[in-house]
Amino acid sequence: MLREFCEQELKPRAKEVDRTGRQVPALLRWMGELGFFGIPFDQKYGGAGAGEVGYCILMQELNRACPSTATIIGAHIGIAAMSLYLDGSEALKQKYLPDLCAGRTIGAFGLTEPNAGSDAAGIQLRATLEADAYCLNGQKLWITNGPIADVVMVLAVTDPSLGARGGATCFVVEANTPGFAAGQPERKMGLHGSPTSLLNFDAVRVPKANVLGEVGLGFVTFMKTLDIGRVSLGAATLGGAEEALEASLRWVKARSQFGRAIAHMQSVQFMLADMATEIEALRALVYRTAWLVDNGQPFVKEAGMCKLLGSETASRCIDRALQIHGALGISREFALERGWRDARIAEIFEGTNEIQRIVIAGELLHERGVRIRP
Amino acid sequence: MDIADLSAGLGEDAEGAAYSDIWVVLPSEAGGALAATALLGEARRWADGLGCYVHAVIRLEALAAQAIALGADRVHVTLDPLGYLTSQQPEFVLLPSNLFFLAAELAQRLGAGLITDTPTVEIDIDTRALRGAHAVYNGDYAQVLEVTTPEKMATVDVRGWPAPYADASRTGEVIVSDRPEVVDAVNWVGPIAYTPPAWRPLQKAHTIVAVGRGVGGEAGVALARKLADALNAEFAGDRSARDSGWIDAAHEVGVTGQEVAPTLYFALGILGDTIHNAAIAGAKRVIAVHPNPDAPIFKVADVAIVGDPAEILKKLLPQL
Amino acid sequence: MNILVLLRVGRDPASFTVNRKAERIFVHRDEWRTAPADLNALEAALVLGDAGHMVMAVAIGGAEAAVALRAARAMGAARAVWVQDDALRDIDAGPMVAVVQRVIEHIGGAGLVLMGAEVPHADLAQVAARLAAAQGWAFVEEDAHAVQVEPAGTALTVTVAAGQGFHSVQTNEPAVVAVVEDANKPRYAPAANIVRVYNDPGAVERVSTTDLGLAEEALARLVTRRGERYPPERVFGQVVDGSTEEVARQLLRALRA
Repeated sequence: MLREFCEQELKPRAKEVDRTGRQVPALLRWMGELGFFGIPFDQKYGGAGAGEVGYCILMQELNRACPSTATIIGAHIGIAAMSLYLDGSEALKQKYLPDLCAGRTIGAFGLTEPNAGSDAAGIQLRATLEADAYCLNGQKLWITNGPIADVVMVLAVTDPSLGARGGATCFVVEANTPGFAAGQPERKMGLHGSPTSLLNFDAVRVPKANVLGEVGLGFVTFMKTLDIGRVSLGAATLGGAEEALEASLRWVKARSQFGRAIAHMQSVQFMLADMATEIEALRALVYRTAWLVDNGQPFVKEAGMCKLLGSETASRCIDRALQIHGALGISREFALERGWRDARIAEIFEGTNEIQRIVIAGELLHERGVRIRP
Repeated sequence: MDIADLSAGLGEDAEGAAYSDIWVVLPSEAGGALAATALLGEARRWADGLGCYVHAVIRLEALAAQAIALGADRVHVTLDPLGYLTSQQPEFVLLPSNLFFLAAELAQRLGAGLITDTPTVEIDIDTRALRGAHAVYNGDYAQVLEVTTPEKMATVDVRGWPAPYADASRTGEVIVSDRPEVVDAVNWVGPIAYTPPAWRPLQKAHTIVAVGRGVGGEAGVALARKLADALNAEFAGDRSARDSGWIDAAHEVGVTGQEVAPTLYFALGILGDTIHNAAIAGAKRVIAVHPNPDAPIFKVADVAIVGDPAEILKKLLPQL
Repeated sequence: MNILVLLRVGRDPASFTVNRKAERIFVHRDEWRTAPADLNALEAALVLGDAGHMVMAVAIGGAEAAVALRAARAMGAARAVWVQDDALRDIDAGPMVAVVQRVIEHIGGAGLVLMGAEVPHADLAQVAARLAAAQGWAFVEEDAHAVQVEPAGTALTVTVAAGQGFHSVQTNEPAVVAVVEDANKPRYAPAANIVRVYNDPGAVERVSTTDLGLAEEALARLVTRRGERYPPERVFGQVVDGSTEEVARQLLRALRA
C-alpha cells in the first residue's frame, strides 16, 4: 500500500513541490487519514502501532518518492511526537497525541538555537516560572516544520546555574499562544518542500501542565528522542540511496556509447556494485537497529551508526548515480539532482556526523570503562 | 452419408461413441460470422484427420449454404445455441474469441475444459486431446494448455487467419431447431451519463500516440490527435513536443517525464534519443514514423516507417 | 447483502523475466500479485460495503493468497476466507468454480459475486461466466464489462461500458458481475488497519478443501498445462518502405494485427 501510494501520489508531484516550495494540503490531509502521521505509535493514541520497524519502512518509502514530504513527516513523528510519546505524562499524551497521529496538527521539535547547534547544552531560551505558568523568552533557529507547526516541543533553560543537565526543561508549546511567532521559511539548497524557519518566543506563557517529562530533566528527554530519531533517518537515507541505484540500473541498460550499453563498461559496473553493497550494509544496519528498538534492547550506538552510515552512503550513492547519468544527472528536469540537493542535509541535521562519531566512540569506550569528555 | 453408416464402416459402435465430432459455433453478426468461418476450415482439416464430422451451429439460415461450402457436414440453425449444444454430445466445440461468454457457460454445463483465446488449435490424433495456447502477462509468453475431458472446448483467436477454401460443390445437411430464444436475465436499460474516475496516469495507458518535432508542425499534431482518438489512445509527446507547447509536462514521455509501458506505442516524428527511448523500454510494440532513415528511434521500433508522418496519416486516417 | 469477491493471485511480472531466445522463464524472486482487475472488483465491492453490505473476500492457494486476503481485510473487507492448498496454486477454471461454490455455501450465501474481467496470469477469466452458469445466477456479459454496481432492494443496476459510452443494465440478485480493469481506483488501506490485520491471527479464516467438503474428483483438472510457448524475438527496425499509399496500407495491417 505504502509503495503504491508513494509512487502514484507523491512521486509525480515531487518535482512541483521542489520547484514551488509548497506542499499540497489535500495530500497531507489524505496521508493523515491513512495514518502516515502516527505510524509507530500505539493504536490507543490513534497511531498505527507499527513500531520502529514500521516507521523505518515508512521513512524509506517516503524518501524514495519525495524527500521534502518525508522530512516533514520525519520531524513530526520522529522527534516532535516521539518526545511526547517517550516522556510525556498520560494527560499530555491524551491531549496532543491523537491529533498529531491523525495529522490534524503538525508537530515540530525546537532544540537548535542561533548559538547552540551541536553544542545543544548551550541553549539560551529562558523559561521563568511566574505563578502557574512558565514564561519563555528567546529564539530557536533552523526548526523543521516551523512555519506549519501547530505544536512545538521546545527545550528551555529553567535553571541557568545547573546548566543543561538539571536545568533544562521540555515544554509543549501551542503555536497559537500569544508571543509565539514563526519566521519566514528559509531558502535552502534542497528540501524545498519542507518549511524550516526560526521561532521567536516573546513572553510566551506555557501552563505548568505542558511540561514534558520532569522539570530539569528536559535534556535527557531530548537526547533520548534524538537517539530514536536517528534510526528512521538512516531508513530515510536508505530510501534515497535505493532510488538512486534503481535509476542508475535503468539508465545503464538504456544508454549506449561506443557501440554498446554502458552497462558493459567496467567502470560503471564497479560504481553499481559499490552502491549496491553499501545499500545492503545500510539496510541490514537500519533494520537490525529498528528491531533492537522494538525489542527494548540498547540501541544508542547502533542508532548513531545508522545516521552516520546512512547519510554518507546516500550522499555517495546519489553522487555516483549523478556521474553515471552524465549531463542528464544535473538537469533539473530529471529527479536525480533534486535527490542530490536533498541528501546533503542528512549529514548535518539531527546531530552532525561529527557528533555521531563522538556518540559512537563514547558508547564504545563506555563499554570498556572509559568516560570520554566531549 | 449418414453418421451411422460411416461408424459402421469403421467398425465402431455408433451408440458407444458417446462424444464425437467437431462442432463450430458461429456468431450471429454478419461481419463476425465471416471472420469466424476460418474456424470451419480448421475444423474440416482436423475432422479429416480424426475421421469425424464437422457441425456448424448458426443463427441465420441464410448462412447455411456458405457454412457447408466452407467445410461443415451438418449445419444446425438455432436461436439457442447453448441449450441446443447441451442436448447434443459434442466432443470438440470450437468458437471464435468473441463468443467468450457463451463458451464459458457451455463449458460449465458440459463439464468441459475450455481454453480461451488460443491462436492455434491442435488435436492429438491418438489421444484426441485438444491443445491450444493462452497468452499470459499481456503476451510475454503463452501457456500451452491441453484439454483431456471427454468434451473439449476452445475459443479461438481467428484474427489474421486466411479465408478458408470454399467448395461450392460440397453437400451437407441443414437441421433447423425450433428451440425458442432464451431471454436474458439482464435487462438493457439504456445509456447513462457516467464519467469514469479520470485518474489514469500515462503510465497505465494501453495505447499511446506520441509526437515529436518531425510530425509536421501544428497540422501534423492535429492529425496525430485524430489518430489518438481513432485508436482510443492517450496523446503524448517527447521533450521537443513539450517545448513546442503541444503537450504538458504530465504527458511527456521520457526519463525526465513519464516512463510508459503500453501495449502499442506509436511514435510520430520522434527522433528517439536515449532520454526518450529509455522510457519506452517496457512498450510491447513500437511503431515509429520518421522522415530520417537514420533516426535512433528505429533501433527500438518493431515497425520502422521512413516517411512524412503528416502525409501517411492523411492516407491512414480515412481508413480507420 | 453478502458480497463475495474472488481474488486470483499470480506471479508479479516484475519478479521474472522471459528470455525468448533461450525459451525460458527466469524467476528472480517469489513475488505475487493479485490480478489488477480483481482489485478493481474489490474496490467496487468496498464501495457497496461503505453503504452497509457485508464484503467478503476469498482466495485460493498458498501463503500468497493469505497475504492478498490480509490486504483486502485492511482495505475494509469484513471477512476473508483462505482456501489453503499449495497444490491449488495453479488451479484451472473448472475446479476453481467448484471451490467458490462451496465457499458461497460456507459463508452463508451471497447476493453478488464480484471478480475481475481479465486475469493476466492464467486462463481464469472464464471463471465468472462459469460460476454464474453453475449457480444458475444472472450474469452481466456481452461486450460490456461491469463498472459500477448500485443495488436497491434486490435489483442490481450495473454501469457497463458499451462502445464509446456507458449504459445501464439491470438484473436481480443473486448475480455474478465481472469488473473490468481500471474501472475505479483501489483505495489505500489505512496504516492502523494494516498493522491490526497483520497482528491478528484470526483476520483471515483458513479452510481446507476437505473442510469445504470437496472430493478429489471435484478438484480434478479439466485443462492441463503442457509447457510454454514463446513469441518470436522482437526484431527492431523492420523498415516499411514505398509510396505513401503502400505505407499507409502496411501501417493499417500492422495496427489491426
